[in-house]
Amino acid sequence: MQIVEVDIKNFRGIKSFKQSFYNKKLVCLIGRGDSGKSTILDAIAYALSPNWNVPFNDNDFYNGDTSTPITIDISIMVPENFLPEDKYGMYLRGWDTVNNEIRSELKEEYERIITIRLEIADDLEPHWYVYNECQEENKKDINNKDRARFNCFMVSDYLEKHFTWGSGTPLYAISKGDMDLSEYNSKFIKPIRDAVNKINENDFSSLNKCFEDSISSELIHIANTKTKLEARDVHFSINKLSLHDENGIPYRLKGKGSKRLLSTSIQLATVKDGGITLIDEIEQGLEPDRIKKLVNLIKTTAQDSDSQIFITTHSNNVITELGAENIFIIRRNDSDCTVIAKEVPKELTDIVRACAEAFFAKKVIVCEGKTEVGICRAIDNYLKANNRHIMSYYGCIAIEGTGSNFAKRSQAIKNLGFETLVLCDSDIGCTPSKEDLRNIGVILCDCEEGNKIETQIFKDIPYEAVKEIVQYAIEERYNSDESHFFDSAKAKNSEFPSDWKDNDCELVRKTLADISTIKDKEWFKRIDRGEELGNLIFKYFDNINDEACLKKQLNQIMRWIES
Amino acid sequence: MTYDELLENFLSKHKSLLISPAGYGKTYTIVECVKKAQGKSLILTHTHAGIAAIKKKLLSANVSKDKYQVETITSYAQKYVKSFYVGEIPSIDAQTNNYWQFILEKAESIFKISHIREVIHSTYNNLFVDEYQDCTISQHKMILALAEILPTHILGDPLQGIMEFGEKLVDFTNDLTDFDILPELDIPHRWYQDGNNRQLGDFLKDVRAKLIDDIPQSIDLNCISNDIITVVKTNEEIYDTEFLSNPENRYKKCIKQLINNPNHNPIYESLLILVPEYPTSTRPHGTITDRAKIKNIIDFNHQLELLEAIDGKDFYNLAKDIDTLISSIHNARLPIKKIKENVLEKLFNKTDINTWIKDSTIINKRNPEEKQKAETLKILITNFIETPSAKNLYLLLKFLKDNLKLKNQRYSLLKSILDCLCAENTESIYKAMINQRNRIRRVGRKVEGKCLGTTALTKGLEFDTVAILDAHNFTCPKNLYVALTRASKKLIIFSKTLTLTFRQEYGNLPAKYLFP
Repeated sequence: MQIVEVDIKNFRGIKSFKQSFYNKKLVCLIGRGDSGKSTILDAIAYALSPNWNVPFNDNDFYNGDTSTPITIDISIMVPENFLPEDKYGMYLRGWDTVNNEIRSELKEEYERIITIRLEIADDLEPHWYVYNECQEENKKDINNKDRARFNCFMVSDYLEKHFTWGSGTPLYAISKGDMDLSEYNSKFIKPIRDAVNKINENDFSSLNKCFEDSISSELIHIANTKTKLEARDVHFSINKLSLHDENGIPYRLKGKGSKRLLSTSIQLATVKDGGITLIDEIEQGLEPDRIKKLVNLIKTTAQDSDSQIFITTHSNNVITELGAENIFIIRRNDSDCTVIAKEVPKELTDIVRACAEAFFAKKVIVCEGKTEVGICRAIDNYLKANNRHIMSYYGCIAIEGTGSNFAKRSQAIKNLGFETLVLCDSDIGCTPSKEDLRNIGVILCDCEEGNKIETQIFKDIPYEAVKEIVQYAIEERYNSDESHFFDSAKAKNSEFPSDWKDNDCELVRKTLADISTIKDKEWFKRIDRGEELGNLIFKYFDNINDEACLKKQLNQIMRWIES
Repeated sequence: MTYDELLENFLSKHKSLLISPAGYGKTYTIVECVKKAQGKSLILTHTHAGIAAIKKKLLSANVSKDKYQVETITSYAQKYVKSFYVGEIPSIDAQTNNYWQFILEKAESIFKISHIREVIHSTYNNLFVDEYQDCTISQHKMILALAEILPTHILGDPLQGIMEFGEKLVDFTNDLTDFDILPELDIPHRWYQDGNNRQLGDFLKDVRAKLIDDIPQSIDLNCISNDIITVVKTNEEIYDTEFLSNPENRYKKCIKQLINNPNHNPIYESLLILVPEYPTSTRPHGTITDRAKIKNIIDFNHQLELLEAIDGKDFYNLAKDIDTLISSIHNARLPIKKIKENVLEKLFNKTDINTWIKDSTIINKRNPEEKQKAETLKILITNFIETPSAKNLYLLLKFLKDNLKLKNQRYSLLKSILDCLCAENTESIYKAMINQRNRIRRVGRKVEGKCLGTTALTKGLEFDTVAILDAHNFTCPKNLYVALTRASKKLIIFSKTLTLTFRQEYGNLPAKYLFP
């Protein structure tokens, strides 16, 4: 069974959301908190719920406004046994696989689907029916038994039910309801009944006597009153049968991670039979290695079956493991309050693996190299020191563009809908060109023409800062041996003066920039060193000329972060 | 070949045809086939009356309801077109023919889509089509599309193929070459049953043989024994002034007595009075208006049910007129007159209406009881004029019918208009009428007791007694054969002539219609 489209209106934080999941056996929804990921899973779970009723309240309506009904449309491939006319055969719709759209006409080349609609109006009574615009006047209800055929279950925090064999549970779905009733009777109901009878053979004589002695029999006949265990209180049903570990400990008492893993394993068994599994925050309670294992298991299970798994996550580990193909970024469109999903193209797997964090952000600074990433960290330090909000407050994250790759990455990230700023050198061209990036709305923060970032820094900062940076470099890169440094400088430019400390001139600054970027002997090119470099710049930040390119760049970045 | 072998044979072929004259156990054969067949059978027929008859037999044979589904060919097609055709569907009343033609063509192409084929295939194991002689070419093409999905077994009698709407009917000789043809059913079971007229059965079998071998120019009623058929020679026709106006007219008295059944003969309680439909130089005879008029004259005690075509255009026209009335009564100069002319006179007897409403006023009454009623009538009419709603019109019509007891000529028309006025959630009475007609078409309706109708409306039905009025006006041999074979116990023929002559244009029926 496979969901081809989810269409939600007016449900909780979602005013409207519509997304195709055709042919997606595994769907991973990511997005920042409150973007609506969990609401989407809940919506699917409710619309395909095997329970005959689900309680709703006013808060389930978007903005609490009960005047517009909640509608959740789940369009799904049609199970064989739904085809007859008196089932849902007259309600089939077409899925246009070329345009990824629902059609009320059912052409040969379309896939056949049905749409399960859950509608809740202001009376709060959920109404499940099969929707087809041609049958607007002739709605056909779908009862919980038929909904149970979708085997749609959610791994959530309220899992205890999932470890029992009661009806409507995934274990029940696996057993397909055909438990051996005689076994159930002989091994379960009868022993309990026998035990109750045995208890009631006892004579609770002291209690009986106490009753007789103290209660007056004038008003009512109470002779031979007996104390017994009432059968009602030992009412047992199949949902009392639950899973226990080898030591007899019920699984419901286990830790969160283990419980979720077991629950997930049970759901995955239903997936093999064509079920739909929903897992909210899959990483919950799990260590990175268990996450990896779980994600891999889910991936292979989904591939080998005729069904679908929906997960949400906030974890880098999860999406790094998954790769791009299955990821949908969920975000709010503030202009019309809708929630939209952006599917990550599968070519982007290397970017997903390299910059997983970016996919959880709102704004992304793509840095040309590690130095720039370090500088961004320094920006964060500066903001914090000045009691301004730090980058994560704004959902902003800096990632590395690994040299000439930065242009491609920033283009991909921008196309996925993230606000994107590029911090880069201006010494080389790139593909796509900077012009192309600007045209798709990427903000470029580059140095003056032909300058690397180091060149720009050594050009613009006060000389005090230059000396402090060189001092840092001598300690880090020249074993605190100043002469070693001087020799290198001299080697780079023979005119490098020995009194460079007191000789603030263009030649000195230029040479310093040059030797700081000698290939394989770079002073920085590491995030921590870049961060130190940045910290030193910010130490003298107020003294940098306001018109200097570097200051303009840094201010531009900070303004962009805070916008 | 025994009957059982015949059934086995019929069922075993993917496409098979069984010639089955009326009364020769056709419905019984369908029931037996449904019982024998694996899984669920789809049974398609033509008329709503036909559905009712088949369902009744299936019920009395205790066939489980999940073994069958009975529908008309057109409503089955309509169901699929409504579910799966996207686009404009012509409106049902404008050109009824165009509408059904359209539905059948679209259904045919829908049945060719593999998804739909699977729906049908997963629902049914067999298809039976009853009264195949009544299939038009477009219905036949649609059935052929279904025959690609389900083993298809058709039953019918080319001798009963009455042309109704003008579209050509299926030709058994040329159009059914793909079908395996089984030996014809040849025992007139209906008439051989206890209590039925065995001799009539034998007589009809003879007539049938003659019609098949060669279309005779005429049928002679002169020498028929009274035990077989009661022939009454009349001096006039039912449209003559003598018949319409003379209370002592013998022909009319005969019919009235038959309806009133003073001796309580049980076989007259199941009575069908048939009126021929035929063109004349001025206007066609036998229309619903004619039949309503005749009913008025012969049926004082309202015992006859006037059979109406479900898609009779009067239903739609009157519903539209009511919508117009509701929306435009505000502007009417003489609103009462308008109500009277546009609605009341179409439902109630004019003379009766005129005792209460004259021109544009309510007539004042002296008698205190009548005075009270006139007052109420005034209030109801004023209410409707001030607030022209379906509800207020309903109250008015209901009052005319139940309290003033105005005679109504078209009971089923009045009843369906009242239903539509009460319908909820419809934008118009017209829309409500379309819904209601569709519902009736789907559910089917019961026809029993004493009825007045035409052969077209009663094909496939059987009555203990059938009285054919103006039999000399049945000029089509097939129509006459259908009329004759409706009777199982008693057949009464009223005719001006004792030789029923067929018109020349019907003479070219295929003799030996089938077997090469």
